[in-house]
Amino acid sequence: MIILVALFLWWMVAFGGFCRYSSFKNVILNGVLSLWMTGALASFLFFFSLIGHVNFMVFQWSLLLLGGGCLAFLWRRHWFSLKEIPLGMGLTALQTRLLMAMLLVFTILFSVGADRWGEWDAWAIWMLHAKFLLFENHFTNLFTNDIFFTHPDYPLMLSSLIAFVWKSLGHSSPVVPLVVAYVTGLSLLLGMAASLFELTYRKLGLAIVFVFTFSNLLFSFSHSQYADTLLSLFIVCSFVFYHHRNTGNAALLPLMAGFFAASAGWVKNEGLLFFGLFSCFYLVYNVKHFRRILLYGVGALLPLVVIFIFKMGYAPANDIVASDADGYVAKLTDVSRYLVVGEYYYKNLLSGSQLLLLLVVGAVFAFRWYREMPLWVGGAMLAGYFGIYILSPYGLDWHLGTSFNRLMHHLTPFLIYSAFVCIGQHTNFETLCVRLDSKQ
Amino acid sequence: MRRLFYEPMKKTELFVWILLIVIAMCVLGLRISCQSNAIDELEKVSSGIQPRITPASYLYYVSNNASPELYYKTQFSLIPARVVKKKNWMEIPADSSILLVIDRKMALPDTLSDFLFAQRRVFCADSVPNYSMTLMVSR
Repeated sequence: MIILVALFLWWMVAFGGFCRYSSFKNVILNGVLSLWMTGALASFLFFFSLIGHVNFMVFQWSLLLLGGGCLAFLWRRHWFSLKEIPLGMGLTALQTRLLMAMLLVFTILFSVGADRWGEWDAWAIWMLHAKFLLFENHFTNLFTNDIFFTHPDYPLMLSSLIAFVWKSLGHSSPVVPLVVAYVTGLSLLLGMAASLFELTYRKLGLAIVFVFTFSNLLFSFSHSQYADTLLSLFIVCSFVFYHHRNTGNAALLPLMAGFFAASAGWVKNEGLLFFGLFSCFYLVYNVKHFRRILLYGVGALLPLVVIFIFKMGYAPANDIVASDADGYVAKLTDVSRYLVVGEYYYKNLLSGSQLLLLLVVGAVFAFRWYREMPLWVGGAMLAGYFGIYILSPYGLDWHLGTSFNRLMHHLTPFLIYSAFVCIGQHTNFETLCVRLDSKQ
Repeated sequence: MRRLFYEPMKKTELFVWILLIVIAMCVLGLRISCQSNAIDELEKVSSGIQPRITPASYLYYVSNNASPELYYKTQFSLIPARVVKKKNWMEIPADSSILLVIDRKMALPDTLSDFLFAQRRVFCADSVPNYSMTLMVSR
């Protein structure tokens, strides 16, 4: 359990840093962001400890002692004060009760749907990788195409977090990935809501919790224990820093945006596509703010170094990248592939994501959302995924059928969250609700 | 400590809500602990095989159950060794380790019986009600 205590101490250190420097007043927002920054850093350190053959005992005790020392130092410098810890959400008693009730419903629904060892990919990919990472001298056995079914080229954020705790407990318990999945889902909900509360769109914050609790937008994935919800969370966090760019700390926010966007590439390969596109649009939208771009790059540096070492030194070639050049040309010039993918996009976007479509279309026409970065990033990601399907070495029907809904799960939370921010910015939604309340 | 939270909800009420969420989580944990899965059975049966293999081992997988699920779960239970599946049993190189996984709910095909009969030596074997694992050397 040493590692859990060490993680908690580091989380508190990061939390203190966020409370002091982010200028977010909302405790929950600071808590969620600092938790996942700690999680990502712990994952990087664990990977470095594996490749450096550092004894796990030494590793966890170093983390614990350094974390404790850091926290004590910051305590003495008065970074923390237990005299008053405002939640900083500005909710009424009824709204707080509503929020807590929805979180309880979320927990119950998660409990009902979750299974031991999760669904297929959860145990066949993420937990299987985690189990390899338990063996510090033999974890490289994973990186071979002899066991290609487990996609050994996939990044290791989720697996390393699970392995981290398994190693500390001394056995591979199925409860650990389940708790990680629950905390991820809860963080996604709370992160989006708390960001909207921080922007003073309190009713929209409650509405987003309602939307994700009482629909299948989150549930079909969250309790499956796949890495897709974790990727959605890192994408949403990147956009949280983007949406607060004018109100938060001018130095910390771009730094963190870079860190979270690049860390998405350590969750899944699709995260690398997100990072590339997000960075391009970040550059375009901040072309006059050189310092912001510089800080964004500095924030992205560590995750990129980790991903580079992993991809160059350990991971076998990705199945799409490993295809031959002639195959690429044949696929790119095959019109029937474009038709199949296009038809699938058309059918599934219309039938599977009505709420998202409604919000996107509504926000675009009513509030000129097309001027905002999230819509462009979302559109570019859809186009990027389209290109990957065209080049896919697998049967198109199978590939689309098994992955398209996951790709939509990466996009849906941040697009809905960004649409809600857009609605909050352009309407007097809070006043409108107050008026409706008073009429009743 | 003057006031921990100055939100409108009382501290006790907030803690009751959090307690309810924790109880729901505990129920989930209990439900998961009571569930059974083929992974658990295979982990149990592989614990008899694990001491006989080295972490760097390549084990060639042979089974009467053709579903990839059993193969993947077998790999899961034998980490850090690598369990490799060949399209044809005859492709397995001589003097390599073969891991035979029998799904006891299914019959043993004659072709597999003949193949197994021809192999050189059985190292060790273990079984649980639904599965058995045998480690042998190929001829």
